[in-house]
Amino acid sequence: MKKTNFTAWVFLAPALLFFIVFSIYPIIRSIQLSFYEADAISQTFVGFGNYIKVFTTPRILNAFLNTGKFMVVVVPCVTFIPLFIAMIGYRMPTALQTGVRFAYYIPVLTAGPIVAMIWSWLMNPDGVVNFIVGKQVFWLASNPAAFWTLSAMIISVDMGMTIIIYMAALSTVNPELYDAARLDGCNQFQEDLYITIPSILPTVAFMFFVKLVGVSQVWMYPFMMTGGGPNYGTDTVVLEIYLQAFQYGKYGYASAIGVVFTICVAILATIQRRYFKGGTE
Amino acid sequence: MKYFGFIIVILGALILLIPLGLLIAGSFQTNEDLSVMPPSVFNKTFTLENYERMFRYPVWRWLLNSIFISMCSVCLSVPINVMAGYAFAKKKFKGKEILFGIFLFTMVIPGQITLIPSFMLMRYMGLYNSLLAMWLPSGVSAFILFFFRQYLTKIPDELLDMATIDGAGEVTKFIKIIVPLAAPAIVTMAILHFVGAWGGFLWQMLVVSRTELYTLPVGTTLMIFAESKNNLIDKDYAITFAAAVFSFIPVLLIFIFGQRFYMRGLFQGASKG
Repeated sequence: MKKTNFTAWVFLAPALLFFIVFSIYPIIRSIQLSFYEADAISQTFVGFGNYIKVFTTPRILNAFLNTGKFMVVVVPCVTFIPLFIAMIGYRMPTALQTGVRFAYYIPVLTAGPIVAMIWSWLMNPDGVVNFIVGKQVFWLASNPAAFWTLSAMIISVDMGMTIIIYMAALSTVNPELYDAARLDGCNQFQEDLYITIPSILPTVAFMFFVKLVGVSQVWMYPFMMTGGGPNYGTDTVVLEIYLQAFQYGKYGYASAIGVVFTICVAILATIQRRYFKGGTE
Repeated sequence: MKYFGFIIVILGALILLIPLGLLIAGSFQTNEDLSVMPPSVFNKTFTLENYERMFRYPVWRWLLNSIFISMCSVCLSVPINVMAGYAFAKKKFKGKEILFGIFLFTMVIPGQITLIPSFMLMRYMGLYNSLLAMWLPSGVSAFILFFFRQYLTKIPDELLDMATIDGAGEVTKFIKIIVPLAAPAIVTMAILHFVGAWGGFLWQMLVVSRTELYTLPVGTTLMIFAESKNNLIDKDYAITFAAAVFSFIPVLLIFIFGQRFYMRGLFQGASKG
């Protein structure tokens, strides 16, 4: 018992080292910064000043609201649509399966800013999509169209990796279970319901968590495509953090927004892990 | 029913492939042609102008940088996380649950708030304007760690116990049993992490200021801004498409190469014995 304990720490040591230096330390520094009015040069202690500003600035509260809206719309889609695709795709002949996986993975292979540019081109008022629908819709320049356009975009971009992970999980399901089910006369739907889904549920629950966290941090696409507009309609928390820190140089304020935001997401994530864990792991 | 699902999935795949086709075609067209609807592959002037304009920038150097930092990032991150994932999956030690909780918690924290302290740390370590600064912090990824833990938990304990009875040490068990069994997961994660590192943007942009140290996404994005004359209304789509095609090819190769190793099921090898 004593020995196992020691070897465990040996295996953990490199991870811990990196973790402390590149995760824990910056987090602590960031919390510290949130109590200061800090820019690139000077730091003045302001106590909870930054936090009071976070809760009293309509623009920031609106960003929190928008982030919440994105999460409600996007997270279920990017968790469960890929499950559907992976389960169907997994039954396809190998060549077709590879093709499907590739098609859904394309947006992931393309750098974010470039994806944003391509979508801007597709969705611009005189662009391809308007040509197809035959109307002049301002997909990115009106509310609430901009919100829905960005949501659709994030969903389409975000599925590829999840599909691959689900397919990897599907390959770990013990085939003997299916043989047994078939002997008992299960049809395909029953197999899915009683074997496939329960077997990969921990992975699904984990991807739900990953997406919850990932979508909460959306900023690149609003930044590139709408600038958070129109009229702050697609402004998100992390975009505000980015703007406050790197456009306006308010490091302390940005850190305070970040701390509040992290606490919110951590609470959500804890609730999710408690009620949707997918059984024993 | 089965084929109905097939059709929906394939239809979705086609919808995602259409923009790719338009993009490749568009990379050989001028900005003027691109703004004329309908989008077309044929009846428009074929031009290599976009590629010529692109190759005036050091894109090959950016490509090498991207390959280098993505490979380093994978070689650093995967072993570290397999080891840690193994410890979490198969070892008993004090504080396991708490430590794992802390690892998971760091996933919740947006990169943007740790960006400033991390950046200051890099400066302090004298790594500003170096390629090392781009990949070193990616050593631990809670996501990969979690994935490995999940995967390794499924390896039967009896296998490890049998090896112990046969007199295998900890290192032997790890290298001879864990790593081969985890190979599909390792390859999958290596590729996903490679692609992730390849696409890294904000951090890579912050830690270097010299043009020759840019990665492909950073370099091409800044190139697009420069070519668009920072005019975000009338963007230079033509060069964007050329850049997209150029930066897409290497990751595509990695992806296709990786396909062969992907996801050979855990049980395909193990359950026979």
